[in-house]
Amino acid sequence: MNYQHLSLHQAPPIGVPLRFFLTAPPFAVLFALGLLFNGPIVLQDRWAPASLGITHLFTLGFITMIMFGALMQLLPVLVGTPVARPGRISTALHLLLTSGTLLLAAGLWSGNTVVLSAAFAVLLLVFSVFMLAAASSLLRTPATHPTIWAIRLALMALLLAVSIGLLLAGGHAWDAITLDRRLTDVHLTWILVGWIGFSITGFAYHLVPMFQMTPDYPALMMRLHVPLMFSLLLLWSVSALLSAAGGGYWSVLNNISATAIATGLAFFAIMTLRLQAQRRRRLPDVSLRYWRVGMLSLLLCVLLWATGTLWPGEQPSFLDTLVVVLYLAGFVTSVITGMLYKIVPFLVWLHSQQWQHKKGVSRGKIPGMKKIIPEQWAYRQFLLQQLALILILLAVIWPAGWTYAAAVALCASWLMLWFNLLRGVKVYKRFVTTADENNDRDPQTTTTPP
Amino acid sequence: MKSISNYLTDDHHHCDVLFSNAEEIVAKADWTESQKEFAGFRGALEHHFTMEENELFPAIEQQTGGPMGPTQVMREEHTMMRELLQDMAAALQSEDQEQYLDLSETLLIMMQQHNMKEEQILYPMADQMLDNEALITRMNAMEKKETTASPADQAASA
Repeated sequence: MNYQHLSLHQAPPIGVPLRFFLTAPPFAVLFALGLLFNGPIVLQDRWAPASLGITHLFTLGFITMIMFGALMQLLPVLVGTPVARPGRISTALHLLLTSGTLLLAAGLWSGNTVVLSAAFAVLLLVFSVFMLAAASSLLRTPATHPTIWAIRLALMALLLAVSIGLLLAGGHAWDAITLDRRLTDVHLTWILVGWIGFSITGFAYHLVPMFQMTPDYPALMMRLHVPLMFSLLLLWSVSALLSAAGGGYWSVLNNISATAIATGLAFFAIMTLRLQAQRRRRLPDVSLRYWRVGMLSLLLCVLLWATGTLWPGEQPSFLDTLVVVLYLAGFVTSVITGMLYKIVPFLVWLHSQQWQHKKGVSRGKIPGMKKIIPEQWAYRQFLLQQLALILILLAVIWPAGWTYAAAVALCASWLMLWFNLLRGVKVYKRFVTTADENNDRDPQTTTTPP
Repeated sequence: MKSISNYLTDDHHHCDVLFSNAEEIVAKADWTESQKEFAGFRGALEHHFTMEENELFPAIEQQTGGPMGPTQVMREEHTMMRELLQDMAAALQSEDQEQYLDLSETLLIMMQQHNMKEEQILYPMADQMLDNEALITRMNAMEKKETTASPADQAASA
């Protein structure tokens, strides 16, 4: 095997992941403001133009933005074959995703076909660039960790979801394409369980043992879980589309595959909680708390879904929304926020340290991770986020009474998250500037003026 | 017969156990015990670095033709971890629990991402291109030759 192209460097430069991580919270704040501005209708009617617009501010602007940053950062570490030209690619991805998300939200909200078509084009471009960049890295790697398979399948899921999403966007933009609303459910499921769920599973295989010193996930699970879930999603999608045509067998198959997918998600949550209970590192930290809330939310989400599906009859109208909100605000948001609270301080520390080594500056005091983003501030944000989570769940059940309070709490929590991350980045800036000045004064590196 | 991967990955896990033991004792502010646990951990990690720097990396470099590339990056990361260990020793000396835990959090992530790259990329590469048995024998012999205190320990206590 040829190892010449392997790089074990910490590359990419710090700006590559950070631009995504720092852009994500403002999008979440925009989402919260959209909720505040539009009120209960967002939670009552998923087809309302405002609901569609705002949802994408969150799923693309916050979740996908962070996923892009995390993948650009973790791929080199995981697979040893970095994305080529990370600086330029991430600049392009970041600008395109930011503008595409804004255009899509505006287009869906206003129903303006010109804006929607522009969103359509920009998002097609951003996902193509992302897919090509990630594929070029994933295809060359000699590493065989199951995470790599999870990420490959997450990308396949994204490809499918985006293709369907573009079709749906086409349906919005041009009357010539008939809009099939069953396709929206298929799109949504591939995004939620496929792209987001598989990526998180893949990250978890690496990050859970790494952050808390837990045992590894069982080898068999790491090999089979995501591929099995992928096959089940395929089965579910096909049977969902065919069962509507009137096939009784298809709808049985659809129920079976949906139950299996839900069981698979619950299994992942239980395994993760079990491993974390066995962690060797006993000290409490904010990241761990976030992951636990995330896994408990996922379990609750599956339980609610099962209650609604397996015991048909009179169902409360909010149940579907509650399941999705619990998945996104409870599970996904918690896990990726917990991840940010480890990754950002570490990157700040690492890059400051490397900068110092490269410049040969005498060793200054680079604070450790717990001081880069002070733990008590991360903890306060965690508490605020839990309050916001409870409020948004209440708002789904009683929109009229709770939506505004939930929107305000979410807004505050995400502003605080942003503030915490910026605090961390400021340490990097302050340190590098200080070191720069020190370096200028260093007689060995500057010539003495005559 | 173990592969290089197995041998060195097991050693990573051994260091992990000692790391978390030390951290737990520091969190309890038992300073006498902390010194002992930390010295054990630091010695084990230093031994691991030395095995790699003196045996594994040169052997890989001989095959790939030079100290550039992956092994160079690994050496740089060893340096960063040694600096953290030194700061942690200083924090223990001054019984500064907050400082120690701040640094140990940083060392943990540094160590884990470093190990991950070695276990995923470098060790499998070594398994394929080196004489596993000979290298492990040499690394075993190093262990026997070493005294209880590593040079870094002596430097820190000096």
